[in-house]
Amino acid sequence: MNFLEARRVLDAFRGGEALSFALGLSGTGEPFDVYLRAAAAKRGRAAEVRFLPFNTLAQALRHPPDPGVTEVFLLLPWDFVPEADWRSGVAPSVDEQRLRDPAMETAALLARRPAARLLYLPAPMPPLCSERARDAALARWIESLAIGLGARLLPAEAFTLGGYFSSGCPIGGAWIGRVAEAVVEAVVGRPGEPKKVLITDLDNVMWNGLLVDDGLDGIAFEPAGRGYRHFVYQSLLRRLRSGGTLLAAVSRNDHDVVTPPFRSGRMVLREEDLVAIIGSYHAKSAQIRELARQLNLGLDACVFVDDNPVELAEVSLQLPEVRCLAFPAHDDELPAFLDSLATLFAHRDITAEDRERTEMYRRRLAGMVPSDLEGADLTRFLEDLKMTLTIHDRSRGDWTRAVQLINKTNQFNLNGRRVTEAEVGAMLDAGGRLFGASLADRTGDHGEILACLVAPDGTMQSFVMSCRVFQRRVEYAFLAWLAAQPSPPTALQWASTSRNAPFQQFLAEVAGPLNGNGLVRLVPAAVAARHAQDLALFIVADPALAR
Amino acid sequence: MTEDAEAKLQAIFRAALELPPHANVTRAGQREVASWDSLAHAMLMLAIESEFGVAIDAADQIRLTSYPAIRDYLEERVARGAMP
Repeated sequence: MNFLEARRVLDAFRGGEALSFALGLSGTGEPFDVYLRAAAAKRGRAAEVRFLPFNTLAQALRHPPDPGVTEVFLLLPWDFVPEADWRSGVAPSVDEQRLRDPAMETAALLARRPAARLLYLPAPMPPLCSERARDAALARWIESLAIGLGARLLPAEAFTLGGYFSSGCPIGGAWIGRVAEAVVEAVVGRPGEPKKVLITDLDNVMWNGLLVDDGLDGIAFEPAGRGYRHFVYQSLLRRLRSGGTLLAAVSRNDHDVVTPPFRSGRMVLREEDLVAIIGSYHAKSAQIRELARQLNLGLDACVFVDDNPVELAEVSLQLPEVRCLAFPAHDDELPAFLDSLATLFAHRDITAEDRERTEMYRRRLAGMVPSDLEGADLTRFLEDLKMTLTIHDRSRGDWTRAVQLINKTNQFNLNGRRVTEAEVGAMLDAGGRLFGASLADRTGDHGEILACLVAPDGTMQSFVMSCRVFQRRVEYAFLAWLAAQPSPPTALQWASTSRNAPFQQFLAEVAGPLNGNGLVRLVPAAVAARHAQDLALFIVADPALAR
Repeated sequence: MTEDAEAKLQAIFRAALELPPHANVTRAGQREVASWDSLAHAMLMLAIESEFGVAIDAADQIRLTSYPAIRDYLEERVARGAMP
């Protein structure tokens, strides 16, 4: 979270439950304020932060804690070994035998504050010992001391000497947003209570690819190429499971579509490693709430992993107690992501009951019915995405991508009909129209994600959209836009398939209850009016400019 | 400096120094802007680091006390290839 994003979050925040805490660090804390308030606002909380004055952390630890105040200490090596503080310069000489005494004293003082949340930043230290190898050993010893106290480890790169020298703030601009989020996470989480349930998305998380479109042979989860990140993720999940963590999957697919990879014998995880694999087109928050209820576990015991920021926002808004983590988009982000998971699910002692827990809960969940509950209202979140929908008139020129989309999309597909370029060409020559649409938002460019083919008589013959952009209201906005154009389509050639339940839900919403396959009438003016708010979520680019 | 980068720098100035949305900041200096105290300066430097992906040395942080100075500094970093 960069500075301007933090300000945008705060500008859009309309208040929430107070989140009060005191932040202590050996440096200036005040520059953190905007980032801390934004990180809290993202969780629907209004942060009220009291900063310990510069260089008073050591004194503060000698006073008994106020039981009414949540304390967070962002610790640096020189909180344990004062001679290591860069602002004091390099010590002329040190008694290496006694360097560790103050560290033990600080650790003892921190241990008397079991409710305090600790984070440790292993910043580099100036030379202290007679040999650099001893300095390295000292640094490792301090780090292990902090970890032993239950501190969450922050990346060493978060430290900046320039800022620490000039203003006393030890965190650099590149990291301050992420460190603020870690601080807020530490405040919100209960200390010492590991999470119990890891609920994961499947497509592009458990494996690379979209199972329903790419098929079992087209997805990747093996230790090679694009499957590597997902193989490592599954390996960690397997280890967590053996330590007693319950694993569950929630996917916008049919249940029978998503189980084959687990039954293939080629993946690290098998079906019996998960307490539940929930395939449903309803809001993921509703599925998670129902799962927690049936497991008889609190929502604050759950962690949810997804690659889609909209799904993460929906769950986060509806179930703020659930810890939401984004699956890394790049390999370089994988270590920090796995570290977060390992920390959240840390179990010191593994019992026989831990090992058997999955099977126990699988028995409990046998016959669980997916919930139909509503999800969160994402309007504010979607507005903040600053989405741009560029509509392309593909009736002339290159229609390759539009035809490709029609022929590979299964879930959001009007009728499952496949088309050839020749068929499309003939229809267009006779006066038909072909539209494409591309989506971009502040999370990136999603490319061309929608195609719609309208026959000369005004019947929509194909309408498909990539499931990557579900929940962004793109399909409603496009239809509202199309309905307001000259000669809008007045009917859709609907057919149910084994996989297009999401389209069926959409169609019932825009055209009323369905009565079998065949032509479904559309009243353009009514559609345009009913979904004008969806269209208003987007900046729509002029199609004349987007051929 | 590109137009986008210049617009971003101006947005950072207005937000960090709590200036009105359309305030002209292109000649702003620490002496003239009342809200530009030491804390605001620390926040401004962090904001620039976070938005432009640079780490600013302490000596530079202390001398970068006006919009033109900061703009020139960022341009010089770009010219040296020291900025992404």
